[in-house]
Amino acid sequence: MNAGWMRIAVVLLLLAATLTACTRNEPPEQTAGKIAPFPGATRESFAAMLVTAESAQKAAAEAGAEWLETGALIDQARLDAEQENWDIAIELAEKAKQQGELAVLQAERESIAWHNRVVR
Amino acid sequence: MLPTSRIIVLGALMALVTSVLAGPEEDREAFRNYYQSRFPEVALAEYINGIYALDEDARKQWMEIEEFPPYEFAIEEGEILFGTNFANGQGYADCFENAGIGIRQNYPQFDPELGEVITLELAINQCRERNAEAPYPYDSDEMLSLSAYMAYTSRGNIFDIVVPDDPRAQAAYERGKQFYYSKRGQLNMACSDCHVSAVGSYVRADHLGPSLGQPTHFPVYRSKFGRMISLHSRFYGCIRDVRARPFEQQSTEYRNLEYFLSYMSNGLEANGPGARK
Repeated sequence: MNAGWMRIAVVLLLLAATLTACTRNEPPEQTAGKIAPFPGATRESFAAMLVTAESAQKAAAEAGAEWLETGALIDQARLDAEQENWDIAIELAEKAKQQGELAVLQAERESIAWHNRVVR
Repeated sequence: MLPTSRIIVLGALMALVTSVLAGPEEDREAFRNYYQSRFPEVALAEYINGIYALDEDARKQWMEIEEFPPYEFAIEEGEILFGTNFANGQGYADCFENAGIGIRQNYPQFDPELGEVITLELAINQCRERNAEAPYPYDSDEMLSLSAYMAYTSRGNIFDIVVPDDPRAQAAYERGKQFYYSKRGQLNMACSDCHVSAVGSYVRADHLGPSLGQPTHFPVYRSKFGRMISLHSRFYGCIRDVRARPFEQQSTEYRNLEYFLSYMSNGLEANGPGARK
């Protein structure tokens, strides 16, 4: 293998290593939105998830930090539950729950972080 | 030498302490200096024109629109409403200082009896309710016309918002300031991200306007909607656009935000109502 091919191989190896590192260090905000499917969802598992989602939404609202579509996700989850589409309904409720939790985390962080943006 | 993490923590602490210690006047001076350093070619008095102070092409279009101002109908309607007495014989002039003429620049005010910030629109509805009239919805033509007329009679007056020596007033101001600088919504953005950090940059086909001078020209006729809108309606749209659940018009959150932003514009001329795309 000549020097040119060696250099290309090294660059490719470094690129692969960088991509792997970036994937492993994905911040929580990016992984949090990815939802595992719920193929075995039932009326009971949906009901439990809905309670958690509503609680998270309420906490976000109390913090004055609710996101725009959280309520719509819960409404749509209820509509899908009426059609007994349990896997879709629970997925939507799970997403609403995550939004509520992230909104609360955002509000907690901002209760201090906003000071750093003040024009001085 | 200090490790990097210690330097970062120390820096954040210093920022926190400086921010907490700064009062409204220090904030206003820093706010004004920021824009003037960022756009040294723009005269301070020009900021009352919002984005048209920064964007020459948009300014030319706006000046042509101003030849036949689309908000004129609102001013005329507002003048009629303002001059019409309530069923009990009283009128708006009886509710406000200087008979309601030329007072826009003094709002919002802190009401020591209620312990909260009162905007001009809220004061209009308080006046109606005190005189046994139903309050107007804040997005109604009547409310926006009254607000437009009262702003028109105040043109040229200098914004003079007061944060009195009352811990409740100072807390309201601080909450407005915190709202302005806090990231929110799914897009994780603060008002200041667009209107301070990225001011003048493009967002789609338009430039982001400065917050300095923004409250001076409201309410505005927005060509996009074909009607007048309030400052709180503008807040509502911004909050929704960062994918946070907006607050209602005249909510405590928006009143405090208006209090902070209006204080930042102290010393500038009232020039409402305005026309915007």
